[in-house]
Amino acid sequence: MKIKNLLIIGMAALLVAGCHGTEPENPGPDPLAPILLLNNGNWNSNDACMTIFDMGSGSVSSDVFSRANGRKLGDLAQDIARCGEDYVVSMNGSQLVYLLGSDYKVKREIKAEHEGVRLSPRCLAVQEGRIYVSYYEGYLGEIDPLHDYALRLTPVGPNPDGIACVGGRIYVANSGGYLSPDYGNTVSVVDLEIFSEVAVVTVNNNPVSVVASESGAAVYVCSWGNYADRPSALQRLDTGSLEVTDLSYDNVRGIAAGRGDVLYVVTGSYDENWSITGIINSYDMKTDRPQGRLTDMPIPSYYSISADESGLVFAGSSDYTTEGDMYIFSEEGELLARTGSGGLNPIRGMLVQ
Amino acid sequence: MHLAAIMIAVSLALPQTPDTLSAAVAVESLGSAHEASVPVQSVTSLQMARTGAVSLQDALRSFSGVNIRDYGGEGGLKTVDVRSFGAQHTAVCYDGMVISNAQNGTVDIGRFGLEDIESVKLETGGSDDIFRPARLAASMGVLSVSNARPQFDSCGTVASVRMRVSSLGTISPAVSVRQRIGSAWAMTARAEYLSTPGDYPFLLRNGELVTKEKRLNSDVQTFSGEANLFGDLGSAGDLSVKMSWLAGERGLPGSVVLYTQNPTERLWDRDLRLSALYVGRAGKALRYRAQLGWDCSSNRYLDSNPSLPAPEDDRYRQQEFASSFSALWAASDVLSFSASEDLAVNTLWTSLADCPFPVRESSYTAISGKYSGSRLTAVATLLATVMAEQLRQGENPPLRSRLSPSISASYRLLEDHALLLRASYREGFRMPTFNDLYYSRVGNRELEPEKSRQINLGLSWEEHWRKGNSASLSVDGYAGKVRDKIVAIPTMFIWRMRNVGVVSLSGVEITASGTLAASSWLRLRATASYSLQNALNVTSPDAKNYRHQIAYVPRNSGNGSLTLVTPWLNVGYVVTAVGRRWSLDQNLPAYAIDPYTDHSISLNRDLKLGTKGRLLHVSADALNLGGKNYEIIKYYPMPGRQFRLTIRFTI
Repeated sequence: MKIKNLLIIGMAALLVAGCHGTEPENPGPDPLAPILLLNNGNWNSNDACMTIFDMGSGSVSSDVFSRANGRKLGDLAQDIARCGEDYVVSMNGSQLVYLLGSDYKVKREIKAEHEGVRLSPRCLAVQEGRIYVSYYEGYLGEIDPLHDYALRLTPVGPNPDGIACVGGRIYVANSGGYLSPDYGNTVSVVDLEIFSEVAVVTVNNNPVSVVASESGAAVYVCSWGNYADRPSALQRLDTGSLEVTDLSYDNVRGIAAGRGDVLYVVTGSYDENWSITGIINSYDMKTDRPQGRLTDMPIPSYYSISADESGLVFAGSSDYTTEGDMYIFSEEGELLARTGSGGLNPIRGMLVQ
Repeated sequence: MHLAAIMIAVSLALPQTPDTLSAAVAVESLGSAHEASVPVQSVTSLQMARTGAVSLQDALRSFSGVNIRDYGGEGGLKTVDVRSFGAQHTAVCYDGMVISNAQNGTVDIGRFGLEDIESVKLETGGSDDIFRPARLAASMGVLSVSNARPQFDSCGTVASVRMRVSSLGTISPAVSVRQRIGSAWAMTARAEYLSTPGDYPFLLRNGELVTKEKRLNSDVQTFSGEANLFGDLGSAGDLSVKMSWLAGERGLPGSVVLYTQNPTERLWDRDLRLSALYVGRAGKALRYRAQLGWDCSSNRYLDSNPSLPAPEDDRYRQQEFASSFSALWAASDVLSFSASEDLAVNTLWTSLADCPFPVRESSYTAISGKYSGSRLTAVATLLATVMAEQLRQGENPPLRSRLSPSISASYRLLEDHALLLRASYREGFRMPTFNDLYYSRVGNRELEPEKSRQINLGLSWEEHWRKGNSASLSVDGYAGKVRDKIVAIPTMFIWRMRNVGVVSLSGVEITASGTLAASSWLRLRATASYSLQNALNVTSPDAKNYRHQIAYVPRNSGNGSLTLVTPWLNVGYVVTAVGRRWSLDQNLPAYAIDPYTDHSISLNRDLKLGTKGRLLHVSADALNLGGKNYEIIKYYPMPGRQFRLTIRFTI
């Protein structure tokens, strides 16, 4: 139980807001509900972990997976998603996808193989009870939570990373992370019905995440460039025409889908210590207009951005060598809490429901 | 333990050489070096044989203040770090030649066998020897490995054949020859092969889940050897010429990853080294030393990770051309001065697309003075280093230079007892390596040398009695600092090497040893040492790891050994105990590495066969008796209990 490094701001305000008689249209997050934080861990260190942060008391219970299962989560937790009452966690280093009950007990370990090679899951999307996973060896997989293997696998581009599911299609960012110095520069469009690539769209170098708008008219692709002469970029991919347009953000570091068709866009450049101070911007995907900053608070040593359907926004901060911090904002941009993440490299946050 | 039982039976059946005991007394006293003005620890070939040590890391187990980073198994990288300055602050000197590695700065001591090795010595924070290569004055620790030199008064040929096998499947035959050629020349040659499957079993403890696993892709095959030519040129001096080589292939098992195991990396090594050393005399007061060396080492690294578009197949070749010239002038009986100049050229060629093919030229100039009176010994050295680099691609980095003083003194407190007080101060550095400077994107051409300094204060006592009984004790306290430590600074995308780390070091080392002739048939020797190491990260007061113990340095560690020498059988027992460490600079419980103890026992005997000097050495060793797969590096399990049998036949 670590309370150190904890900062709670605006709690009182939230509680007061919660006392109003009329229910707001979009209910705000329950301030007393616990928050689940996922720590990526360091490569080959088996130190990925899940932490429960209680905003009410400010307490941090680290490694809830170990306590529920008597063993460690594994190596490199990359993504987490909800599938009904359950959680899905992808473990890139340990090469498996967990299906966890709401008590964090393992219900299933889903391993995928192709021609005798174990595949390394990366990012997750859940659609109509099916789980979609990008595998870094160059595949997209479909998982039925009732089986402990991938139902279908289809080849996509090199080292696929972020995926987004909309309009009967999955858009896969083919990062080509192992294709240094130029990296990959495509997004695969996979038809869900036939589970096969139907189009390949050229984007900026090193695409890493994809977010779909609610209407499905467009997906937004964040790419990191080649760290040299090709800068990072945020691009809009029109799902009808498959045309790609550049959005006017410089030094894009990460994106996440928020509630109400909001795209959170983190920008930031290196300081003299080679660390990135992240700025969180909002972008309206409905009107395709930048909405300015979510908050004026900069995120030191920016590491990750995530958001969930409750309206909370999570910004991870990490120096890779010590326990990270998670900054938790409301969708109005209010800093609700800053807490030690209970592990290395906080990559995702979500409200426990 | 069946091997040991056979051994005892064999030993009892054969006569023991009568002169082993007296030889033991003579050689064991070589090891003390306690009158030095800096801490010196050493171990002789005989002591190593008695405790069953077959490798340099075995030999170093009895030293204090030494952290050996061992990635496990025969093929796992093994580096020496003295007083937690970092492995790159320890120089390794093989028969007077400095072994360097400009690419990554560390020397894998796992590559040195102990066949034909006569002594292993570690000097910390300076040296009383001022007649040596200049560049050794830059290091906080100097590990010297010395081969046996053939005796010019012994005649003819001495040849030996050795076979070593272990219960984990290691097979290692070796042959060695010493031959006198005429009255002034002698040669030695040695060849050794080592093969191990490396697939040792281990218990993987994952919380409450304990599974039986096997180390994968940890096999090793190496062929190594060397040839030496020695010339005793009488009044003109001594010449020695050496050629050594190594060729090997090994799997790189990587760390154990939970729930999956598929290591995909392999490494091939080719290493050829040529060197010549001439030590001469001019008149009564002047001695000089000239040394030339060439070292060429090539690697092939293959990674067939299925996430890669194609297997990564990289080649590396680094060369060093080195020379060292020293002159020693004995100004009087008590005062001497020396000057040394080392020049070295290092090159790196790689098949990587963005390799700038660096060529490094370095000059090390050292001047030293030494006073060696009946009670006071004092040594002062000043080292000036200049280093320039040329690149085939990109801008040449700035010239780097460094001035490093060292001073040390010891004083004999009592005239008729060897009780000495010693004090020393040394400033050193390590130059950024080629990897630090140029490795794809990670490298940073602006790097400065990483600076180190330490101050040592110690007391040492040694007493010798009749019958070869002796006892010694030394206590040293030290404080030091590493500034501008070169560390990889991670960011979201690119790790970058920078001079940012500051480490504050302090500690205590205690060593004790005793030899006792308990009866006409039993001699006992016991050693013990303890080290307290505080190595704190003091880089940034705002950081979560501020004043935390740096990764992989135990606060408490120690070792002990007991040797029983009898006419029938020698028994050696060694224990190493290492306290808790962390794999991360932030000392979180999740990153703690459990303390461990490692016990080994050796039963060995030398048997004289006939009257022609034929000798049979048999050693049966049980290693890591506790059988626990402890970790030195997190998730690199060490082999469990292992039995090893060595038989050497010498004619």
